[in-house]
Amino acid sequence: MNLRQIFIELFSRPLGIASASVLGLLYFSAIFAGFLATQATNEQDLERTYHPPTKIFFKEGGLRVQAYQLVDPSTAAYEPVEGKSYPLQIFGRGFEYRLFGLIPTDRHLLTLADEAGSFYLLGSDSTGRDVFSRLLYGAQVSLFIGLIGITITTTLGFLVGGLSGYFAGRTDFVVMRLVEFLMAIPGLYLLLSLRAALAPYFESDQMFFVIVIILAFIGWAGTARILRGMTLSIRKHQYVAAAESMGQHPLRILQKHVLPNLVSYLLVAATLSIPGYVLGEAALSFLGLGIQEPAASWGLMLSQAQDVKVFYLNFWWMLAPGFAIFVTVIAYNVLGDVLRDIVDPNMQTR
Amino acid sequence: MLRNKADRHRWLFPFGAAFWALVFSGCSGKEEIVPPEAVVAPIPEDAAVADFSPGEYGASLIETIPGDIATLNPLLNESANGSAVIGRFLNGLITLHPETGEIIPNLAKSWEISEDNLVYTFHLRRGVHWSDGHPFTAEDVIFTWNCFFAKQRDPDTGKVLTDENGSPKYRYVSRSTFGQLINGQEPIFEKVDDYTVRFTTPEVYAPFLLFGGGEEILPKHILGSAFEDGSLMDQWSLQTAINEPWKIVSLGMYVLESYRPGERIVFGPNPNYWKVNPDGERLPYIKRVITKIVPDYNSSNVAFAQGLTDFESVTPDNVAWIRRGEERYDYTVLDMGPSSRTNFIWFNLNPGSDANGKPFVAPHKFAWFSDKRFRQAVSYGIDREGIVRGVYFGRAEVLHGYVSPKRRFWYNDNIRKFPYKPENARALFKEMGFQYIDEKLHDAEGRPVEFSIMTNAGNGLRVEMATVFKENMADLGIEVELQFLDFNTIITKTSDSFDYEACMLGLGGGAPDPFAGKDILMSGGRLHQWYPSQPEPATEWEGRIDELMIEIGRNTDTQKRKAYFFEVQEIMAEQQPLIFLVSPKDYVGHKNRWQNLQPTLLGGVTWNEESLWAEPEL
Amino acid sequence: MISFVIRRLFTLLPLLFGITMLVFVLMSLAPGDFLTPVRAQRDVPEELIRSIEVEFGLDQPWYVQYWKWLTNVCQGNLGHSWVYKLPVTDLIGQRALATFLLSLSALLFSWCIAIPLGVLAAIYKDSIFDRISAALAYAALSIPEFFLALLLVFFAAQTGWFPMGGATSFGYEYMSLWGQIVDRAQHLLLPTLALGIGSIASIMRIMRANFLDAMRAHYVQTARAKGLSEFISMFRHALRNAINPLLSAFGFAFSGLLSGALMVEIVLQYPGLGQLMYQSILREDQFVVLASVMLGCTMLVVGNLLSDILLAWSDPRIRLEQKD
Repeated sequence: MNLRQIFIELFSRPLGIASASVLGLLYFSAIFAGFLATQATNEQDLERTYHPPTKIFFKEGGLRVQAYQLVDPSTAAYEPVEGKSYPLQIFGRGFEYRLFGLIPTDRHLLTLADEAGSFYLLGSDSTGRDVFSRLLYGAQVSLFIGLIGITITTTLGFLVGGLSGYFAGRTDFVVMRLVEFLMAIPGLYLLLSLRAALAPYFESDQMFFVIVIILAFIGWAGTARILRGMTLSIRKHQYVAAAESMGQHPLRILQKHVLPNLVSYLLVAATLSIPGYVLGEAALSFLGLGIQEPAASWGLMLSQAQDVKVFYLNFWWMLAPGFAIFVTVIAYNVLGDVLRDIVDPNMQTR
Repeated sequence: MLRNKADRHRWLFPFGAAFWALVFSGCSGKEEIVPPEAVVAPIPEDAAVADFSPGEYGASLIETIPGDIATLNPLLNESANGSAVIGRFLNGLITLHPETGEIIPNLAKSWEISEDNLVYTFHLRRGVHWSDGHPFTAEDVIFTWNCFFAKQRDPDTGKVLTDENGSPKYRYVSRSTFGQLINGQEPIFEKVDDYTVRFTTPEVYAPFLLFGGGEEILPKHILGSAFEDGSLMDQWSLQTAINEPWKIVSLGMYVLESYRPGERIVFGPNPNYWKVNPDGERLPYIKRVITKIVPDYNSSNVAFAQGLTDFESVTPDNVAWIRRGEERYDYTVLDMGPSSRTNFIWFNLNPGSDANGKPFVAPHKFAWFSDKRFRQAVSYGIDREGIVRGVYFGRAEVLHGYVSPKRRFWYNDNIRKFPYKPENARALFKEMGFQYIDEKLHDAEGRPVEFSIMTNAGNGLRVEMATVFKENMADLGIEVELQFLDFNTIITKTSDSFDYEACMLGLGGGAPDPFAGKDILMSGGRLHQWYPSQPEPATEWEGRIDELMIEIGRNTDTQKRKAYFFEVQEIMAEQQPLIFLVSPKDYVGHKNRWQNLQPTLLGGVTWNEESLWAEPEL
Repeated sequence: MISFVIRRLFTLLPLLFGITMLVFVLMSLAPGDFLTPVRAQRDVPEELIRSIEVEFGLDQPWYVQYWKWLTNVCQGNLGHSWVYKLPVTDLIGQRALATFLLSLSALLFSWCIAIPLGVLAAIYKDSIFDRISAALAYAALSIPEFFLALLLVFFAAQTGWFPMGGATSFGYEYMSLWGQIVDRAQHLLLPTLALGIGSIASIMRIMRANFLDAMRAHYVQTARAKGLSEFISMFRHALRNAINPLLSAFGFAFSGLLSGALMVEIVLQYPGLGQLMYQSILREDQFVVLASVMLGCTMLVVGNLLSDILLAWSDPRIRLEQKD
């Protein structure tokens, strides 16, 4: 079954369409974060910390946002101001940013008139930054770490597993013992040790790469093991023997004869393991060991929700990043399951 | 179960121990070690009378401690938690007045200082006994100081061994050993009679009464043999606390009952405590103190808010919601005013280079940092009021100088202050020849002004302060890169590798005597953060601070010392080597059931714990 | 069988050797050591710090330190915690027990709920119930444990129904035996929920599939044909055969819970092995980290071994010796 068939089949199933479109929407918002965001990610307002989500309603022929006032600074309690609201503009001008990191512009989906102050779709955080906007910018980290990570591990896993399965014998033995070794260490324990060792040698804003490296280091073993098994069985086919007898380079054989047979498997396995990366990043950042302020990532934002005052003063909107992680993971899981059903319902995936 | 009971009531049943000893020798074999019976000594001749109305005996107190202890041996202890616990059962000769902060009698009932300010004579309280009934005398004081200064000797010749610098090798190296050296020399201590000890300092040393007199006294009759056989440092370990808590005898108001690592420490009343109430009855009233080890301050705040503990220091950001439970759980949260905790930023002013000859700080940046106008401008650019309002919900105070306003006596309010005035900052930059290109600040040579600042990631409020600082600097056109590092990495950088540009940290506590800050303030100090351990003062003003600190050390006239220290604070404020931010306020919660409470700003709520009482629970 | 177990346990040795070495190298790469926080204190003299350094051999290169540690371990001495100044075995013992208790209760909780649910979903296949439970299972599988834990804390804070954090109450030592049991159970409630809900979903899905297979199998059809009641044929024959393969998942599930417990323990402040490991890494309390990693790995291997044994026991067709 080739990729085209898989995709046609995928979009004929309701669950497939649903999960693919949820993911599509998520990645769309990550890519267009600047356009969709209502405030710059680090725009602070120390007069408006822990502002609740702003109410939006329809009045006088347009969308309007409610105005709020701080009634008790010592508990961050806000109350709507009776009868005071501002019109919401569409495609208005706001803060400057670069679309796709290239095109400088200041157009946004939703803006307020200058004098109206700011509005918070998902409330504000401990220094008065807009949670909604940070969620969008955080998506750029949290969502793409999975894609980058899985690309690295799959490539690595394919090379190591494929070569190991292809050559068999002693190489295979050594590589497989290494794989088993890595798989025998409880994942989070290894994660923490690696991070403790690596982090001091990187700047704070390079943590993204540290995390990718760590996650890839832990993740490649499982992929390699399964791919080795599959390569072993593919290798028994006559066309591989034929190619071999023609003196083709092993890497070329892998690429030409083995890889095409593994593509559908790789697709399913990758889809099902991306949540692992999203969760790994989230967990590390949540513990304060991953992405660092003032950059945004979902795990890091969620770590602010660990503060007891958030629970007791009921700043529930601080939990929004957790729901974002949840939605991402569930979408990937559903998509992966649908793909597996399409490709081979009995497929073994880690 | 049985053992616990035996422990608990060993003060109440004089014959209990013997009885249980019989039981255990009969039924549980030789493993059970039975605590020896404490002898209840008569009330001391020189008992201190705590001037609070008499109360009822028998209540239990539950509280938390923010971390586990590592040892109960004061010679080994390095943690604040350890000191808090050790302070429960060991006392010094002097202590501090809970309101004025003056030095007042404790185990010493009085003292004299000679005309030349070199000789200190302490008169001990008569008739005081350790919790096991052994009398407390001058022998114990001398023994304690012997522990600090005992030398390693050659086993054959008996000669004192020395290290490569020719200074003697000490037998039991403790914090006090070096802490009590005065300019490298030991004070002389001698017993005059059973209740009088005399100390002679090698030179005039103003803080001696506080530092020397504050040393906790160790029991010779318990630790003496360990001192002789060399196992002193292994005594009073956690193993002792777990298996034989009664070996840890007390001169304080409590005795250790039991300890479970990571869980709790339980104290009972010292049957021989030397304070009495106005009726002449022995204190304390409290029957048991259960100290739970709760490493996370948020969890311990939560426990207090649920009515589970009696006393709790509440962090500023939790005050709002904890106050909501005041009626339901019958407690009160008190505002104790400014705390002694400080937060500050500094720039790396170390002019040195690493092993490869690469300067720690790039030369052009070093030029900015070492210009005081640059530091002042940064100070003007920080929205401290905003931090107080937004991050602390208004429960902190703007901090202008080295000394927190909590230390009222030493606090100089007349120092130069740097309120939030970005326009002043810009003016200072202009004066330095800096200019704005596209709203970004550039130095006189046209280089963009940017620097990185590191702070530790573990502290939530500090992370928020750091992000505010970054935004404040962005408003001045300065690009600041935040680096959140592990605490260990930060310390390695600030004290060893020096490869950083700026740092944000906090200091807790703050000793009652200005001389305690010598390691921070003096240019040769190890904690002189911006450029530690300087061979020579790098700048004129640092030289001046050194002179002043030396004077503070060797002057006993309080007014003079105050004047010197005020000048130190003025220099620090003018030069801004440490740019202070805010100081959170202290809040303490207490259950309303406690009587005789008389909170003071310095002493907190429990300074008169021996007089506190409540209706006993069931 | 016994030789198989011994052989498997024997392979554990090189594994532990490799892992501890790896961890040792990683920890020596991180700057500073457990003394660094002490160095930062203003009143600890430098001479004191240096003397402690020498005492603990911190001035030696990592391989010397590792060798020292290894020889000690071979003599059954896991070393002292630097932070707690306690023998590591004492420290880890309590924590491992707490984590074990948590994993066990999460396991029991999830099995007790998942098996009936899985059976019901299989019996009423394609009904509304089946679909809803399938959807919920997806949700449960996808929710990150630490986020679930956070939601539970939020819930507990808002309602005040559950104790927050810790494994026991403040007055635990002074409770009756029964009171202590109840108290522990109360404190286990939230962590068990946070940890168990994920595995409910996966076990339920396996159970449903197994039960569907079993219902279609010959012996159940035969039982039905023999005229046995629907109930008996279902539960006597189908259920027993459907549970068998699950047993093999028991060991694996257990070891999985163990590492999953780390985040839950941290968020819910449950004093288990994971929390200890996390704090020790931050404080560079080397020997504690090493011992907890060793324990974690051992539990993982023993868990897998347990599944193999259970599998062999439940399915006579599998002979252990054939597996590699």
